[in-house]
Amino acid sequence: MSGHTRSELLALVPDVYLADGYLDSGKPRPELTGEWAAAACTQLMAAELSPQELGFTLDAIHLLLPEHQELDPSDRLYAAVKEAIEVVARAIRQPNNEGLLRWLTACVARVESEQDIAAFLEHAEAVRKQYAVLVALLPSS
Amino acid sequence: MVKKVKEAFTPPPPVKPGEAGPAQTDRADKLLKGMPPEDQAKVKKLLDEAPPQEKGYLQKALASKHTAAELEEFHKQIAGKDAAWLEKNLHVVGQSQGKGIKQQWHDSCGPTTIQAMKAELDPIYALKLRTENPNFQEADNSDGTKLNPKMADEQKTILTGKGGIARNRDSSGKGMPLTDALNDQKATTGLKFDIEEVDSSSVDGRLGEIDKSVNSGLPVPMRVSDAPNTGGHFVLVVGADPGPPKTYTIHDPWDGKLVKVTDKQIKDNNFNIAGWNKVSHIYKPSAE
Repeated sequence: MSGHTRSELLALVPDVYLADGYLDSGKPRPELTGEWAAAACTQLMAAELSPQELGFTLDAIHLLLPEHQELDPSDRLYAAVKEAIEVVARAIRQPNNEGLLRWLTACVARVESEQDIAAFLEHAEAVRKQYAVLVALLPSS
Repeated sequence: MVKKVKEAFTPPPPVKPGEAGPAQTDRADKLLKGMPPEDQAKVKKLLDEAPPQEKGYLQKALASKHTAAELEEFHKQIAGKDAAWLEKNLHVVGQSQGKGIKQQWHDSCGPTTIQAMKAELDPIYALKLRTENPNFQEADNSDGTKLNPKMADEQKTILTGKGGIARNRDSSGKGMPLTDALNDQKATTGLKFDIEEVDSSSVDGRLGEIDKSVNSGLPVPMRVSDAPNTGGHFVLVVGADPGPPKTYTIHDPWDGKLVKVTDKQIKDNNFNIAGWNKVSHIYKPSAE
């Protein structure tokens, strides 16, 4: 058996796993929905993010992305995520989770094209699903 | 070309619930400028004359693309109301008693989250939802349409639009407690889980189901145990590499480790995850 230890997963941050971008030969890298999503979950869990805040934030990004018309895809996603963060902070009436903000910052920084946005959303959805399930699997939950 | 470096996301400065944030204010300004002159004048007058606690909500409604007529009608409903009334009636989460919008169906957590976010963005939607569903913080377990039929209908529409089925809240199936815990997370996963036992006669079929789920982006919770089933541990399959050898990537939340196990190791009960060597159950996900 092989794999990654918890400390390796904590070190596998978006700056590392997205170093070569979201796409490989024009397609989203398969690790985005597998190992890298698991690594992101480990980091978010260490930051004590609630699955609800993650869900709210991703739903808000989905709702707001079509409202942004910035020509540059990177600018468009950045603006949508920035607004989503504001909306969620208002809705939950507390500051956003710092770990979530770090992860979003690093993920958004690597987006350069519309295909990257689609790949980011795919990655984020995989993280949402894995994260909620992992929280449910924890003995204390 | 020099790549632009964007600022890191940081928690926004605290704003009152009724204030439009910078992005919504900016969008409202643009939409206002795009309105026909007559409508523009009407909306501008509303915004100019509204006291601060009403103006934010009007901006949010404008940013949500409502027409001048809709904004005028909305303003009639909120005009003169104090900040407490506005805060209570134009939001569906973050209520003073700590309660909020409630899912009306067994599987409609996801649609409920979407309703909550829509309401946070659009106060006209929030007011309509609250007015039409005065018991929005309650749910009838045996009849999803009893207390809040309109809200329930919208949740049902969203749910069925994603291939789900709206069933009453008390209609959950039987399973190990984990099934309920997993299904309680549907708001964030959008997934429903069904428990399936794994033994030597079913292991091939179950692995096939894991392949199908994982390859379509759905992680698969799994219980590992030992042959006499003296205890167990829950893990999550997050990847399946066809190989050869075919290898599964499994997240062990207890240790926070990611382990790789081949299909042969699973079939032979010859692996070691937290001391366990046999897969006893999988929790088959399906999208709701």
